[in-house]
Amino acid sequence: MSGSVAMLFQALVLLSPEAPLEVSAPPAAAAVEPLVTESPVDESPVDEPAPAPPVDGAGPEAEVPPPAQEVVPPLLAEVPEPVDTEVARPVALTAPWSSSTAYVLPQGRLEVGVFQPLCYGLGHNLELSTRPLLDLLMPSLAVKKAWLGFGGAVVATRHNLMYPTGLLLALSREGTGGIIAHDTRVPHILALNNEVYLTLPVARRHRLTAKVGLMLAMSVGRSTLTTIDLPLVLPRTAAYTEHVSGAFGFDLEGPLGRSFTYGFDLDLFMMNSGTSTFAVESSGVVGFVVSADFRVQAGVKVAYSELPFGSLTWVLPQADLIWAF
Amino acid sequence: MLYRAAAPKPAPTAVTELLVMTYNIEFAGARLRFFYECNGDRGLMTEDEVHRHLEGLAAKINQVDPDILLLQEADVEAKRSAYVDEVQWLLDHTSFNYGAYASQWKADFVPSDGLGRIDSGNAILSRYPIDHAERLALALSKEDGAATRYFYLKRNILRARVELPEAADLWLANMHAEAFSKDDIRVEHIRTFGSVMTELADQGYWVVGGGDFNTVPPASTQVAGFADDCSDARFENDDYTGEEHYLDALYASFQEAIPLGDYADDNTPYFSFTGDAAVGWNRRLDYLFTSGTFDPGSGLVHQSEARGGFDTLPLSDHAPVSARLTVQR
Repeated sequence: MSGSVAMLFQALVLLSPEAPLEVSAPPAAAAVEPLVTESPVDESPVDEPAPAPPVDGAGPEAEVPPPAQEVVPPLLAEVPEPVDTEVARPVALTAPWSSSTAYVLPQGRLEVGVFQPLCYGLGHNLELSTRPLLDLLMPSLAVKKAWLGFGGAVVATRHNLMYPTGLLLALSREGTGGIIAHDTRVPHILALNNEVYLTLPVARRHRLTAKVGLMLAMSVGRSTLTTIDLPLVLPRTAAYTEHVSGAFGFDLEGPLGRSFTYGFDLDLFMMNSGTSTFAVESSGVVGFVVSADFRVQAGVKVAYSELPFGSLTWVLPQADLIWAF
Repeated sequence: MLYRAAAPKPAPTAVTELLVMTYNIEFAGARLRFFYECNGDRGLMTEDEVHRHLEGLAAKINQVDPDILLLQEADVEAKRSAYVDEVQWLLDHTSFNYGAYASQWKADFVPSDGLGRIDSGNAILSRYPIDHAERLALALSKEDGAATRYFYLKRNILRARVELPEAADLWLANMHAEAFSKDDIRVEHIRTFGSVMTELADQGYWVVGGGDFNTVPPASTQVAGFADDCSDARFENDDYTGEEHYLDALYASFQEAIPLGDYADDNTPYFSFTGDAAVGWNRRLDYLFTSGTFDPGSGLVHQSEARGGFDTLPLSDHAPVSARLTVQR
């Protein structure tokens, strides 16, 4: 871990108002922790004891009672007596599977996929993620912090610090595989992608997440780096040359029966790269929860991007195998 | 693809003769040494470089002020030339009003040498309206694998018809023949070009065709071992041995801008290519043929101040070739 990342992480922990008052379930119970913990004031009309997380509703572990909340987070305790007790329920900030929501992995839970990053529930409602293989060329570390759960809503921020220079240099070469011209001067680039997540429960056991992101990048040294003009790539790398890019989007996810899940997302990227000002991506995936520690998912992604010469639309299959420990 | 100048310029209402020119502009690369060339290292140009090089090309074109211009290696949406639409730029900075373009190398993303998006090809610019244009595909090299063929050049003949005031319509054919393959694809391209010209001429149409044929004329005194050869270029050095008669049929059927006898007397004034500006022009690769009549003595390879009134060595690796055409009514 680089010094900057470590400092960022420490600052997040120290700045966290409820850091010592974690509401995450212990690792052993992580796979069965409900999204919404029962509370003394819960008068939910829902028949089930509590809505289970979408990916967690199947399997024998689902019958295990949820862990009792040990400490009420101060942010929730300080809330005035609610009029609508449904809205005022305290909400757990962890979920057993990582996702594009405000929830974080429970403490000690480790998750890795073929394509998705390695994620780890650090406790204190923090989740770390990185891509170990890619780190060899592009060191990166993301910290997601679930800050607040209230009335069924959860708010989190995610901060991903990355140093893409090594990867860009590896792509800058003569001949086949030269994504970037070999004579390109690639500067030292430090990029920080900051995202804010707001997750709300919708209907029964479905979750809608709104997210807003801002990527900032600074570079040191002479640069002749140009953009990589491809859908999926340009929206994520435009900040390397233009120093800033933005994004916002929505994710909807939930269960499909007992063992399947679905996910749908729509993201809009805003860039300041010449005539390329925006990109839109949307994906739909169906997951199958094989066990509490293994799931598979497959779907399709549509990516549209304005590019310097016009625009391109890609339709790509996507699939992943995800293990948790 | 048809083009129009952003601001149309007045064209003559009657035409007594036409000045026709062919010019391989090397995508406005001027004399930068690109990665595939001898001692080359450059990958992409900046927008400023492209505009500066286009200004040089436009200055030469405006100095000649042709009525018809056949362009080869014109980029329209290519990362290597900073996405400048060179056809539109030249239309807007010369006396041409109309253009037609056919891609010969087009790919959303070439994952090699940082090329990325590429769209480069042949174009025809004209003072007079182009009312028809079509792209005639040429055969692909047989020596390339499937992946190379997918990403590599798809050469073509751009055929167009120009409406002339008070004169017969003029058909044009513009080709950039295969340059690098060692199989017989280049002679096949030249044969196809001859067929296109002959077909039009046999139907009684008036036709001018030309371009960069990537081979030397008959009566060339040197066909290999050129002074701009090197050992570090991506492609092998040019060797035209055995190609001395590739153009015989064209010379037999059509009039060329430079009479073969003049070329045989002295090759040097008609050289139109060099890979190294320091070496100077050292072979002829660019041609203009017609089924009509070029004015005697009007054919010119614009090599320098002395021959064409402009030093063209800094502008491209090719020199333009022009000739004055007698108009058919």
